Amino acid sequence: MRNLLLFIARFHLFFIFVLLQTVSFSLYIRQNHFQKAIFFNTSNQITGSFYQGVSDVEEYFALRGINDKLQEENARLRGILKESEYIDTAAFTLKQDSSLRQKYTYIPADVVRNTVNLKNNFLTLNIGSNHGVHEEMGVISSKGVVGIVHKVSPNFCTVISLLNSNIRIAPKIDSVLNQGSLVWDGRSPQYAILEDVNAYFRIKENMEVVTSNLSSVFPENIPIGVIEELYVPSGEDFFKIKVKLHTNFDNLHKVYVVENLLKPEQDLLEQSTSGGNN
Amino acid sequence: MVITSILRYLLFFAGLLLLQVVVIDPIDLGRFITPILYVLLVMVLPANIKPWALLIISFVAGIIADTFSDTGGMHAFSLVCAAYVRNYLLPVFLSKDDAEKPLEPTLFSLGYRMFFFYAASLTFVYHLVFTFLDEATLSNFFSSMGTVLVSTLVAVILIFLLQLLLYRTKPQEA
Repeated sequence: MRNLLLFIARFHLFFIFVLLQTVSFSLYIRQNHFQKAIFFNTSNQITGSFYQGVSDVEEYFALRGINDKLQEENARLRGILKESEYIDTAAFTLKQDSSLRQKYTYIPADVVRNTVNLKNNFLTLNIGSNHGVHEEMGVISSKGVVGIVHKVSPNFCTVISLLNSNIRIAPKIDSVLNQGSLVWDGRSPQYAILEDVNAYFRIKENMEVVTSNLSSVFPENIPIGVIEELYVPSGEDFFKIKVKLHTNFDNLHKVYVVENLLKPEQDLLEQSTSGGNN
Repeated sequence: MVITSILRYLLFFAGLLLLQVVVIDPIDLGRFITPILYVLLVMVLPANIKPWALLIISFVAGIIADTFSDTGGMHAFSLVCAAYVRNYLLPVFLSKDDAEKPLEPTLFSLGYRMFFFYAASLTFVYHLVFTFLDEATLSNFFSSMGTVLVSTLVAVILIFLLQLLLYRTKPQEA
């Protein structure tokens, strides 16, 4: 026993080193998984308020750009209002408004912090559980998909950016083809990679990539990007597709958090179904 | 005396944190250039600090840095590594007398050449550990090493500029 204590005393530095590294490493491992909020991230009140202050100043200088983007989005939305359409068929059609029910609602938010220079990037938004945000909600900007909510505090939340190696998004190519999954390869913040698309599909450059209807996180047809480059590596059956993202992550201020009103019901059903199988 | 120096280092770290997250991080130098200056804190703590205290201080500083950049333990891990290396590295650059004084290992106390090697090695260790934790794979070994080298270079330049800015005393004769 005495020898053991002497041994520890002699190499105490090494033991402290190992202890501290174990703690850091466990934090590092846990960061990469969905789990309950822990204190050590930017969604806590202190860091959240700090970044809120910084972004308040920064946003002031970006106001012109932000206004332009919002106006552009308004113009696009006005275009799809009922008033902008006319009936171009002589046949009488009945549009039943009462058969439609709201599935998605949108909560506006400001990005108070954002990085693009790591392999696993996160954003911090200035809304939290007080505003109705939960984990695993989708986040979109006026241009397209941004990410998925990770951790939530009362007034802030962190978002797994599309620029994160742990995110996979179900895409739809050219508005019809539900195939593959969209990931980030950690290279340029402007491009993502579309994986696992079988080489026998007829896919061409400049086809639009949007969100799939198979996702319960994002509404259908939210733009993601456009196919810029594709080829089939020799000896493989799958395309290598490079997608130019619509969202400019270098300059992101206003976003929307998407709430799927039917998700709790769907999750419950799916859980009980898979639970029955196991 | 101890209190004022603790306060001084606290302020120094707060300034470093502010510089990193408000000024350096938002500058987009491209995905592969990510200079990180927290290691400067580990560098300039006094030469006679207890090695275990150095480890604990770097751990706490790292956790705070992680909290501010959502890097969950990566800064803490890399900083503690750098601190562990410093315990063996600093005596190489100092005489036995100096190592027991509360001497701050800066550009001016070590001299330009010595400080360059000291700073470059610690910054290199820091970026090496940080980059490979970030990549979480060895499959892009060469591009990762490129990131490490370029980021180290940029960080060392920034550290030199900071030192010139912060300490206006004349360089001591080494």
